[in-house]
Amino acid sequence: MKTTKYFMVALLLLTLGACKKEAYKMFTDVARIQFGPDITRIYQTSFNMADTTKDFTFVYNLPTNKQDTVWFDVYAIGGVSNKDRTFKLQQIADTTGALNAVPDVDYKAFNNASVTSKYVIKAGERHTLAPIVLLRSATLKTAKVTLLFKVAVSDDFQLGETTNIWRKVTSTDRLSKPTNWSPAFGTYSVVKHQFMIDVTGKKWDQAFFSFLQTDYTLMLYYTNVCKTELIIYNKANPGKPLVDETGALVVFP
Amino acid sequence: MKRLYILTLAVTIAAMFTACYKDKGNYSYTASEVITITGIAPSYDKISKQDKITLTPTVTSSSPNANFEYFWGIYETNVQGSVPKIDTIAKTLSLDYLITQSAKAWVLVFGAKNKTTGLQQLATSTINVITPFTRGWYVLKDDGTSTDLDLFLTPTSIVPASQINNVYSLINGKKLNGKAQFLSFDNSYKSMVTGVLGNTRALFVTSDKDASVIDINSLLVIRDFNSMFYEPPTIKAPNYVGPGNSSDFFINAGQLYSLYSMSSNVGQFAARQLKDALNTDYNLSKYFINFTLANPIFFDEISSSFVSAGGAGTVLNSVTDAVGTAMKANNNNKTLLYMGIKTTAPTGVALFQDKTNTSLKILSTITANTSAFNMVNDTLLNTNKLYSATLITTNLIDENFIYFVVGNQVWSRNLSNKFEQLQYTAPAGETITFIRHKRYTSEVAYAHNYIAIGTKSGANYTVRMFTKTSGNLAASPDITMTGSGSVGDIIYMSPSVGTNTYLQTY
Repeated sequence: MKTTKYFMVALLLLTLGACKKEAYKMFTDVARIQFGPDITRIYQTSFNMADTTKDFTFVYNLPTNKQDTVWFDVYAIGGVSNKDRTFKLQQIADTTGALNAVPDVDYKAFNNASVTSKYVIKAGERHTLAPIVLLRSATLKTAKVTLLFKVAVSDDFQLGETTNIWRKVTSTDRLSKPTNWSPAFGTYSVVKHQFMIDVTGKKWDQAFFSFLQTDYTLMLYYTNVCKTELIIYNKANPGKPLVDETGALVVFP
Repeated sequence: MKRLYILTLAVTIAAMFTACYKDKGNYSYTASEVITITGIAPSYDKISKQDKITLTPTVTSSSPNANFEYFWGIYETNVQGSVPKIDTIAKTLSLDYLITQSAKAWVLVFGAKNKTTGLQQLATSTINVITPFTRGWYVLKDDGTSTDLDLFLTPTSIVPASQINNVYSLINGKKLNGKAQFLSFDNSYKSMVTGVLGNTRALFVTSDKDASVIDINSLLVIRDFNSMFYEPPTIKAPNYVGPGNSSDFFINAGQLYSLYSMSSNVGQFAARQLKDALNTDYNLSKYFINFTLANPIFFDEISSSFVSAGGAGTVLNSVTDAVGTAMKANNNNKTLLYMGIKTTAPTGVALFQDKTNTSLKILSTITANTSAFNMVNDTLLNTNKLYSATLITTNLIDENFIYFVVGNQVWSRNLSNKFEQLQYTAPAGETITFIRHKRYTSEVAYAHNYIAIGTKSGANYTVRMFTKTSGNLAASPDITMTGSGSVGDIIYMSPSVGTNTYLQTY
């Protein structure tokens, strides 16, 4: 009988303890660092992989301009800190056949004192823009170099999500195909690109293509301007239509 | 203790006996509750910042002892790029609310919820927020060198009660250059009139030397001729501006410009569309077959060919003959004297003159299918009244008629049997300058179906609106409007008019 009593009391106690409020899941991981989209796009999943690659050309800069800066969004994961936190960048080799950028020749090396001080997440903040200082090397006149880089472990940060720890920037001193070149203008060629610049007076760089994407009718306008000017050019040069650097006829669809 | 167990066991067994009982089938259901709301009209016209909407609907429930709570909300219509939000404006049975919304159609929502049962019933009403300019007949007229608008106000019926002369220049401080030509309406024209880019109820106003697009709520110019284009044409010679298939189209000096409205845009027209890959010269006639569900049909006077166009395109499209067509759609060696739409099939009517034998005139009934373009021809005799017509218009959708002007007379021609009949003779001293079919079915109280005839006498115009029976005009007009100048076009505007309301035609 005593056993039954104990059993019933134990059952009662167990019942009382059966439910309890689940504790909130708190972030207990270490602080991590990674790249991300523009800060206005961080809640739009379609932009998670935006800005992984940026293309830059010095061709629009004054000849006296020997360096320029490309910016990438960097995010600290795991909350803010009450002190400034330093992160590190590290070049990695692009093994896809690209011409890899040379530190302090094609870009300011990531351990160059003039840039390391910029690689900081300020106290109380989660985001910053990391400057990549590109140098106008002689190589760029004849080639396009690629700087593939990633965030590296530092005293303040471990690495973030694998898919967002790298970025790439290409640099040249010639016209190059903007990443967001529109299919509305057909196959890219340097000759076509230069023709578009000549007949419209526009840069036709990444920023301009981004602007065009906000107004489809403006895109149509420039499509027809280029198309019309090409017809005029070809009529003015009978038997010598505009051909690109590969010898192919330049056409706008 | 043993007694306690026995007692517990007995109670448990007793409880088990009462746990199940026989279903005796009590299926006498009560009817579902019905909440009825009355006292709210389907629509109201209100002037912003001036009129209140004051309502006390009657709410009843089939359920006894109903205890209601109420709410009133209002939300915007014709919104693009965002989801309209309902704004709660009252939580009482009675509503006494000053309308402050911008001029367009809004939806008023009333909700009554029986707190006892939880059932809620909604009722809605359209609030047409208006301005003094949103309802009435607009007459586009000119004095030979400049164009303006007269507005005939229709506060209670389609018959004007008063008029505001030269309202375009009154509001904007200047007139359009040139002679009055065409009016068309687009309720989704993109502009910044509210401070943010959005759909605007806009009227395209064209003369033969100028054009503008104006906000119908304020009549203020949104864009003038130059700012309507990314690159304004050097020659200002509009032939037509109006909405078409997901686009607005602008013919200027015979060249086509388009504004694709189904993608991001700021209300400016793109570059001139090309004829072909060789940029062959073309010169489009001002006449067209255009409505909002199919690509428009135009006629190139240089090649004597019909062409089509897409608003998102950069090159005109050629059309293909239907098997058995009476005349080629391309290179047919004709001049287009008139063309107008008749139905949204789309079908139309065209009058041609042969370029070689100028005495040859052919009236064609067109099925404007771009891949099977069909024409049924009626070669006119020089004794036919239509042969000498100076103005022509189509009877839209109704009878298979066209109306035309010879001298100071209006005639009709039955397209089915070629019968021509005198319909109207203008008073002595008046010259007929305008004829158009005006057909409006959107509002019962303002519905109309008129043949509008404009005349000029001295420096003044008279527009007479005739009803018709089986295509034949009534002996006297329903409406007569007068003003200074010569009439180029007329359009009836109201908050219910949308892009698709009218079939546009000369």
